[in-house]
Amino acid sequence: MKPMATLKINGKKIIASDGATILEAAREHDIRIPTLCSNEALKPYGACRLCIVEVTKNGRTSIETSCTYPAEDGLEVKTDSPRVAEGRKLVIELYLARCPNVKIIRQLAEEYGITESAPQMGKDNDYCILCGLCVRACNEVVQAGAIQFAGSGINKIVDSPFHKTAEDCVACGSCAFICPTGIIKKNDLPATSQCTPEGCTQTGAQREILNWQVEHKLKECIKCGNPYYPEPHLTKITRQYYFLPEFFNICPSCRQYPVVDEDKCLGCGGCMEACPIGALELEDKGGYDKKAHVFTGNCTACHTCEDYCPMKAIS
Amino acid sequence: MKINRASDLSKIKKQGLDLLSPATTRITVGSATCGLAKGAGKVLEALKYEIKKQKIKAEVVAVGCNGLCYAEPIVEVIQPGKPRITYGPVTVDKVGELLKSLKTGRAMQDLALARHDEEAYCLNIAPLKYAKGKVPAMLSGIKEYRKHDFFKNQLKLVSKNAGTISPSRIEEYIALDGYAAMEKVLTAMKPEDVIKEVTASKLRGRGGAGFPTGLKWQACRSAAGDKKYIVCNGSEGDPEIGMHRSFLESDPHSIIEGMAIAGYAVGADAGYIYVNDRYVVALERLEEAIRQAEQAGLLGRNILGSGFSFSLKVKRGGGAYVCGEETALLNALEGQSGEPRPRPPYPAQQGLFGKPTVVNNIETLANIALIALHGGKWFAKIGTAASTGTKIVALSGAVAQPGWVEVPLGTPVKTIIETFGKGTGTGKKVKAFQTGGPSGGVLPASLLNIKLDYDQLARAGSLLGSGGLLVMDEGTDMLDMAKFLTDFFADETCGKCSTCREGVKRLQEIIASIMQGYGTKEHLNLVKRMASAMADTSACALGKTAAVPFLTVLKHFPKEVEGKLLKKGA
Repeated sequence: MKPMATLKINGKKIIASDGATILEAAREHDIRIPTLCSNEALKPYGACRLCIVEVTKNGRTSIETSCTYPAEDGLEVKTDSPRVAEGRKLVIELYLARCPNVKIIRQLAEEYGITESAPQMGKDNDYCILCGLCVRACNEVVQAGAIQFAGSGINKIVDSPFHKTAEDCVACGSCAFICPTGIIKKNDLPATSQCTPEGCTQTGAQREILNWQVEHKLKECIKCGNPYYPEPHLTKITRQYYFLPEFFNICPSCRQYPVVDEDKCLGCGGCMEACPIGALELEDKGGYDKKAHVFTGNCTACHTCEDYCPMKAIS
Repeated sequence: MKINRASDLSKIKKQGLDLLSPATTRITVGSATCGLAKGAGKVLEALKYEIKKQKIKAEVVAVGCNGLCYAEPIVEVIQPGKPRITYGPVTVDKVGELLKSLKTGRAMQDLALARHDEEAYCLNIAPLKYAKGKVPAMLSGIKEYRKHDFFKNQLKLVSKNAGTISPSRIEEYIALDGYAAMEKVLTAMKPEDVIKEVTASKLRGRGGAGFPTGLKWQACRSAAGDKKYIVCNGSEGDPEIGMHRSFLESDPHSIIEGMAIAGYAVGADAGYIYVNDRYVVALERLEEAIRQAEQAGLLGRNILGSGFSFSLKVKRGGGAYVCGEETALLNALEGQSGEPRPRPPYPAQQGLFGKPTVVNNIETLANIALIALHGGKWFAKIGTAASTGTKIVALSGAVAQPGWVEVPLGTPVKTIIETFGKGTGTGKKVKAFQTGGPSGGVLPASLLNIKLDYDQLARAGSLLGSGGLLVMDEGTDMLDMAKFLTDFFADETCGKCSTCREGVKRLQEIIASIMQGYGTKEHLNLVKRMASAMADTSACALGKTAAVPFLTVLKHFPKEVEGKLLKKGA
């Protein structure tokens, strides 16, 4: 990989950082290129075609998507040439025809001075722009692979497998978070109890994602009792990153890690032996001095150590 | 038998020649899918049964297709010392008559299509003579193939073996110079020399884009990587074009040989052949051919003692049109959905599984053995200066005799339609034609003199593509044609790029509104605007050309479309 690339964007000389795409290079230098399907956390995809730019390389000019094209030495890039503007206008018009009531599309159209799609175009009322952000987040970041594109040709949609309950969905809600149009509906339902003459049934708090027909129980914090996260996702993270099974018993807001008062600590190691999961260790402080140290990555915040400390140095 | 050195190859060659011009009668039945659809399977069975019953000394062999698809089922007869005679169509009820003609030596005049006195398709060796001495008077009434319109105007290089050899016998392929190119390359040529020959041949990709094959190989050879791949693109998603299928069913070994040579040239030791899953017969024969080549030691480790290893695998694809696009094909091979990848990086730099990969079309690879054997200079003389070699053209639509033919590049379209297709067959004149499959432009009859080469067709707004030639006669409604092609794209777009997916949908709507009678001039202007923007903003060739059929219909047949627009004041 070449270290740095020098290229021209809109006539301005720009030094792009290592391995950057044209889009990234432009953003580093505050040159605006509109996008719908790009996200820093995900690999470039190139589906929305909004980020098109005119690239001249070795005397050849072509229209390329800046999110996928690597910033190479000697490129000449124009982000707003007439050809680009014409293409971008059509993209926005086509989106307007597909999703006339989606807020970000309307804002984008306003920015480029387009009020309506061409009257000869038909109009749909779709809310999904098929940018693929949800699908890619589910595959690349969450690594659940619960949802995918389905259907072919112009009837492509994002869907759960076979339009049934997405069995691999862990209800993390990343899809709903990343969706630019807000069509993915994620609801957290409070705990309910239903009483019939036969008896009462209690349902804990649940999270539902309507689009994928998923309903999962939310884990309740053993300290405050509040539901805070869907159980299958916690199980997945526990397995994926080798967390201890107890780690997620406490919700993040209740998680108060024990703090060692080093003035009081004798370095006896009693806490270390008491800790059920080995989250404490003695740390050399020079000479014979040793102090207890808490590894917050492992600590489940159970505070067992607190009871064992003879000097009450842990709080 | 294992082939370890060149002398083993010539031994097998002799065996193969004995099979091709045997001491007893040889009857071949054209059993590619086109023949099987017309009952070649039944004819084959009937022939075998009758021969056993009547105790005739003869061998019945299933071969591929020789391009005379309109006359299927085709049966060819070679009697010792007599010319090879092509009959068609031979249906099951004609089998008895055929066998009687074997005994009497009198040909079935009404069914005979052509007479081959020799096998002229061996390129650098003396033609394999069937007929010894004078042709019997009883057979002289049949047209010799060199005078037969269908064969006379063709230049069979790539398809020289199709319909002659049995696809399931490696000996017969070797008999007609098969694997000789591989032997030459592996024993006497350096990889760089092979690439030099291919570059000198000016061979261009036969898939669609027409990229120079030599350059592609050079790029892959110079790309850094411990592992490289050769991928054969046999996706063929175009409707009404079956020549790759037909080719795989007739001569699968030439693809294997071409891929092995390509592997040697670019430094790859593994290859994948991606074939449409609907091509059942082709897949069966291809897999059998690979098995035979492996058994003979022509695939696998240390081929012909040269130290070069190459293995091949067949992968089945769903037959999506977009998977003919090379990066979409790579995605499909990796098990992902068939969506094109952004370029750069190009497949030659980062292709299959992230390794440098050469993706070549079936027909391109079939040319490789010829170039390696006879040299790039020899190949460059065929065709025109910029478009060298031959092209298999699949004739379909309004032609009297559909089928496929191989012609040198630079042949006028008119010649192909008239000499091989024998006109429209409906008594009407040719109105329009489309080259290059659905992505090509629909051109009017006034352009019939256009020559079949990459640059002329590109200038006319069409492409050579995979070599489809769809003919439309005067009775065709051009707007209907545009609707058919746009509907095809609506089904076959992968739906990734916004412009292609949404654009095609809107084009469909515009065509519908014109058909229903409320289209206006603005509709047509929008089509033109959309077509140019789609060509700019789509990622792959499918999206870039999705509007081309409609656009060329508008350009060449404006009156027909404008006549359907909403009248002023109506």
